Parts: sequence; C-alpha cells; structure tokens
Amino acid sequence: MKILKRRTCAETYALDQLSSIDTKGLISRRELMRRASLFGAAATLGTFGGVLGSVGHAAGGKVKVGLDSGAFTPILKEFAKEFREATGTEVEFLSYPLGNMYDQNLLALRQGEARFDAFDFWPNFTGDFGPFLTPLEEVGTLEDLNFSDIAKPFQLLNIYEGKTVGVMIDGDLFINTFRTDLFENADEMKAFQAKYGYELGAPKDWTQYRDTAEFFTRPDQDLYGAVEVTSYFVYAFFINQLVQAGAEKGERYGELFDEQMKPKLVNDTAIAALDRYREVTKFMPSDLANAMPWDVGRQIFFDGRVAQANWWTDMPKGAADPSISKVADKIKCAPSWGEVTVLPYGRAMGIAKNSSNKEGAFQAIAWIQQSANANRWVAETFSQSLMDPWRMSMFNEPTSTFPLQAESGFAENFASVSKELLDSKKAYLDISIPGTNQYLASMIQHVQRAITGQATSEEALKAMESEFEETTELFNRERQIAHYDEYRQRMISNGYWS
Amino acid sequence: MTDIAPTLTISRPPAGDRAKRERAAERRSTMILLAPALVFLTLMSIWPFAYLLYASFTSYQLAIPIPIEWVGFDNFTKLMSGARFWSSLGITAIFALVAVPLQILCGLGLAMLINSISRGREIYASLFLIPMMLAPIIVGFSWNLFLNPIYGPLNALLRSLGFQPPAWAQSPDWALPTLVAVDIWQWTPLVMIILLAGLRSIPPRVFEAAKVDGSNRVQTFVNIILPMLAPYMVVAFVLRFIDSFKVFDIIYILTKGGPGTSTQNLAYYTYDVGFSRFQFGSAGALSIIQLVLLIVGTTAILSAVRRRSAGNEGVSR
Repeated sequence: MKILKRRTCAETYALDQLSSIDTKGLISRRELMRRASLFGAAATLGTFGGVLGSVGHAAGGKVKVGLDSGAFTPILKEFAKEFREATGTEVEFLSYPLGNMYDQNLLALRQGEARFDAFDFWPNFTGDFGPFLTPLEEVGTLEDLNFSDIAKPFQLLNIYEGKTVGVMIDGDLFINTFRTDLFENADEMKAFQAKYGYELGAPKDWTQYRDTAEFFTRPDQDLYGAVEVTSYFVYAFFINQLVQAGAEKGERYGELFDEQMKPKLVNDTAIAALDRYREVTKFMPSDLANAMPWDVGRQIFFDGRVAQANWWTDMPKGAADPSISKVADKIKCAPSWGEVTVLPYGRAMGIAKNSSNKEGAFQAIAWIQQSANANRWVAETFSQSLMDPWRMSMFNEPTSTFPLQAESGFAENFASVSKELLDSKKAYLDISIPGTNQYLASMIQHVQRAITGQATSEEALKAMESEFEETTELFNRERQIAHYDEYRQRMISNGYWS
Repeated sequence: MTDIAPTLTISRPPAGDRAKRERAAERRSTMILLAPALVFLTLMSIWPFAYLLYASFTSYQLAIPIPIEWVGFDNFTKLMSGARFWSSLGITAIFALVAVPLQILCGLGLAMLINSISRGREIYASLFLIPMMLAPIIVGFSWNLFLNPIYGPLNALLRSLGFQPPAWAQSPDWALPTLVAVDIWQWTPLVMIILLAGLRSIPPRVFEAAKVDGSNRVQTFVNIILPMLAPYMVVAFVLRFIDSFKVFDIIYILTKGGPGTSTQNLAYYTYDVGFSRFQFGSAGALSIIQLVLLIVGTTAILSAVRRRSAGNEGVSR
C-alpha cells in the first residue's frame, strides 16, 4: 500500500513534468507538438504543391516535341539549336522508350494540358490517336510540309476520318538483303540449279523464298537461310505472309474484316500464311526461332550467320556499315519476295489536340520536313535502325542522303530498289483504325502461340478472331465499320485493291 | 520482491474546466499530428483503392473517348469467362504452389547449413542475402543477360560442354521453369533468414536433451526442429504466398508474358489489360479478384495452421 502510494505520487509528478516541461527558454511540449504538426502539414502540402507547381512550370511557351528515345539524341540537340536560330522559337525534345510509345502518347493526349505539342507515333496508331490529334491542315498547309515530295504510299498513311493528322519522319518498308558471296557464288548456283531446277537468285515469290532459305540452312556451318522476327514485331511478318498469300490468290490482300467488321482470319489464305510463317522458322537458328527479337535478328545477319533477310530497311543499312557488320562488302538489296510492297511501322509526327502551341508544333514539324534537315535526319542515323528515307528526293540523290555507303555503290542499289518498291502497283497500307493497338496485341500473342507450337494455325486464328470481335464490340461496331470502310475505300481509290 | 513489480500507468484526470480544456487541446494536437499521415494515406491509398473499386464496375477505358458507364459485374463475368484469365490464374498458382514450397525447402536447407557453421556464420548468411537485396528489375536484367541465347554465359558454357541449350526465356517449354527458378533464386534467402532466426531461437538444451535420449539426426530433425520451426515456416510461407501474386518485374523483363501467353500470370495480365490496352474497368476488376483471392488464400492458410495448433495443444493436454 505504501509502495503503491509512493508510485502514484511519482506518476503524478511525472505527468506534471510532461505536461509542462520547463524548457528554460526553449518551447513547451504542446508548442513542440503544434510546431511538429504544422511542419508535417506544410511538408505534405509542399510535396503536392511541388508536384502541381512542376506541372504548371512544365507548361511553358516553348514547343515540346516527344520522340521515342534512341541514338538520334545528338542530332536532336543540333536541331534544337538550329531551329531556335531559324525561327526564334525554343524547342525541347522529350523522349520515351520505344516500347512505351503507345502508352506514353495516349496518356499525354488524354490529360488536360499537353505534355507534348508534337510527337512521333507508328502510323498504325493513327486511328487510336486520331480523336486526340489536330488535322495538320487546320494549322498550316500540306505545301508547308513539302508533302508532294513524300512517297505516295507514305502520303496515304496517317489519315483519320479523311483528314491528314500526321506526316512521316521515318519510312519503313520490307526489302530483301542477300549475301552476294552465297547467292552469286558459281558453285552454290550450280548446286541450287541441280537441286531445285531453276536459277539461284534473290527470291521473287514464296516458293523461291522457301527454297533459297532451305538451301542455305546448314546448321553444321552455322549458316541459316532466313531471319524473321518472332517476338514482339511478329505481327509485321505475319501480315507480310498474309498479304502475299492473298495477292497470289487475287484476293483483296490483307483485308482483315468484311463489311460488317467480321474478322476474315479463319480461311485457307490466313491458315496458309501462318503455316508458311511457321515453316520459315525452321530455316532460322533453332535456339532463337521461337522468339527472335529484332536486335538479335539484325546481329546474326551482321555476324554473317544468315544468307538473306526479308526485313525492314534498317537491315541493309546496318549490314552495309563495316563498323558494325562483318558482311558489309557482301550484300545487295532486292525487292522483298511477293507482289505487294508492305510498309509496316515507320514513324509519323502529329500535333496533339490538347496542345496550346499548335502553330509552334507545326513549325517544328515543317522544319524537320525541309529537305536539307530531313536528309541529315536520315544520313546521320543511317547505320542504326532509325530514320529511313520517306521522300522521293532522298532516293533521287542517294549519295547525299546515304554518304556512308556512297562509294561502294550500295547507296544507289538501296535507293533504286526502295523506289521500285514504293512505285509498286500493289502496296499494303497497314491497319490503322481505332483499336489497332488491341487488334495487334491479339495478333502478336496468337501468332506467337502458333509459332511456338502451343496452338495449330487454325486454333490460333480462331482465338485471334474471337479477340478481334471483342475489340470491335468494345470500340463500337458501327463506328468500326465506318472506319474500316474509309480504309477500304482508300485502298481501292488508290488502285491497290480492286 | 515488491521493488521489481511492474509499474502501472494510472493517469489522474485533471479536475474541472481546465481538465476539459486540456483534453480538448490534447485531442486537437493528436488530430493535427495525425493529419499529414491521414491526408497522405487518404490520397495515396484509400482514395485510389476506392476509385479502383468504383472503376471495376464501370466501362472506364482510356483508349476510347466515350463517357464512363456503370456496368455492374460485367467486367468480372467477362474476365472470368475468358481463357486468358484461367491460364493466368494457373501460372499464378504455379508461382504460389510450386515456387513458394521450393523456396521453403531450399531456405530450410540453407538455414540449417549456415546454422551448422560455427565460424563466420554472419558472413555466409550476408552473402546468401545478396539476391534478395537486389531490385527485382535488376535481377530481371541480369538474368536476361545471363540467359541470352547468343551471348549469354550460361549457354556459352553449355555449348562448350557439347550441349544444345535451349533459349531459356523464349522457349514455351522452358520459359516458365526459368521464371520459377529466378524467383526461387531471388527469394530463397528471405526464407533462409526467417528460418535461421527460428533455428537460433531453439534453446541448445533441447538438442542436448534429445541427444541424451538417444535421438539420431533424422529423429531430431523430424521431432524437434520441424515442429519448432513450424511457426516460422508459416510466416515465411504466408509472406511468400502474398508476394507470389505480385511477381511481375522478372516476367516483364525476361518474357513479357510470352511466348504467346505461356508465362502470363495475373499480375502481368492486369498490367496488359490496364497499361497496354488501357481498359481500366477490366484491370480494376482483375485487381479486385486478385485481392479477394489473396485474402481467401491467406485466411485459409492461417486458419488451417490455427486449427492444427489447437489440435496439437489438445493432444498435449
């Protein structure tokens, strides 16, 4: 009892002490608590205020141009300086990873204030981004962009609801790059003639492509007959097969939907296309065939392990550069096999609808499109994957656009083949209606399933069809019918489809 | 004896108005002190979760400029009627029910190995902890290089030994086992450290008594170590079970859910729906489904353990 009483007294004393600490000129506990809470509140508000402040600050008067990041950063720094000197306008180039092009751009377009005034995108996404893009002719004229110099198929991309919402800054197309030390070797030619009954040369159709790929597949020599991407960009190669198989049958090649937006994928043409694609993988290094990434595909060609590549234009450009390729003096270009020129991906540039500086954005795009700047854009990024020529003037004077390969004659060869492909009577304008991102995602996943043996061609195409239907419903069938019909009419009116 | 009695804190309420004022001031101070944390929690956790819950019942989708509509359970039913949901759930189950038990097994082995070392135990334990200290994204990139089919050291070594190694992360047969192996490599140390703490907490006299009773190593392991480590193993299992639903980084870096959809777990599927397709309504529904699965799974594990413990206590009484 005595102890308890003593303890109670001690606690009372302690409480009294705590309630009002004699700080001897410092502060009381309560004051300390009040100041601490004020500091906490200020820190919280400061954090959010800082975030909001930085957002406000970012929305300055300069032109903000978004581009997927890459080795063209040095030239962009030059461009920024020269653009300011030429126009008096400040331009800031902002970058995002190539793999995030869709999500970064969509998020930027959907926010209240523009993150980018102008930005680059794959022409496939024209339909996805279309509602949030400014038709270019609302800000300037196509003449300001020297539009008539752009190769015809590239002019026809980037159209949304009849209006041009983007202009190319990178022109990709499929082209064949073959090894002259193999394809023009007398012994190889003789052996090929004996085995297949016709002359060895750059393949012109599926049979020749298949035969040449098979002929040069010699795992014991670490040599393979073909290389195609089977990972993310698997879509482009499947589309190529689908388009060429359709053209062979005289169909509207690559028509993915009928008039009611019902997918046209489970049919003989599409099954044959996917079967052919699967067969091509047999002529690739077996450890990579199931998931050949783009960069690895390029590298094995540069290393001299592949006889030919039906690939984007970055392949011959890189392969002809002796600083990164062992086969620089042993390659030539030829048109890709099949009747139809296929133009997957590439890059376009457009103006965000939420931009507060559309004139500045247009000015920046027009400046890049000026011949001298556009030529430098291509020339200085030539040996990497980056910017491929898209203007006819670039092909007409290839030695100025492609200085690296001018002496060897490769520049002339590359330019003349590219021109031939772009002048072709049959070209396939890639799908670019709203929802393309989702249609492509389904295609990529199910083509991969077929290639890796997780599904037969028919099963994969059925699953693809089912997901295409879901996407069409999600994006509203009636609207999708109108969008695809506009695309169909564009193909027909330009003479690509009948 | 009385001197070491625990001291009880008995606050004496101050009398009258002064006491009321002081209590009010105390409450005010408490609220002001808590306010920053509460504001932060509300903005960063409660509001996003409430919004996620709301979004999961709507047609919210960023890629289409249409008004957001209330769709009830449509997102849930559509997702659960799709094959991709079930295959993703299957992959998640493989991580939870194959990778986690293997981590417990390997962690137990490592813990016992380190516990048996008398000198430099801490150094060895620290070395084993390195994988766990790395950010999962770094682990993904490192393994990506290590397993690269062309210039990766593993395949180079195997080729030099005369094997034909597969493209680990790209092959439909090997991609999932590869991811499971990477997950085990990274997280076994966590299990090891938990179980090592458990082993160290067993009093040496228990082992001495077992030895006196003639118990051999296997008997000691089965009858003493395992039962005494059981609570630690449950903690490790529950922690890793919850984490297994969140495996994302290594999948994103190594396989991107492929080939096809063969390594797409629920977390990756949610990312794909949310941030590749921007169907926020469906992604929200997927997140809610995962949350429910986690709560059910964890509760089931803990209930089973509790029942078993109660049963054991009954037997011992």
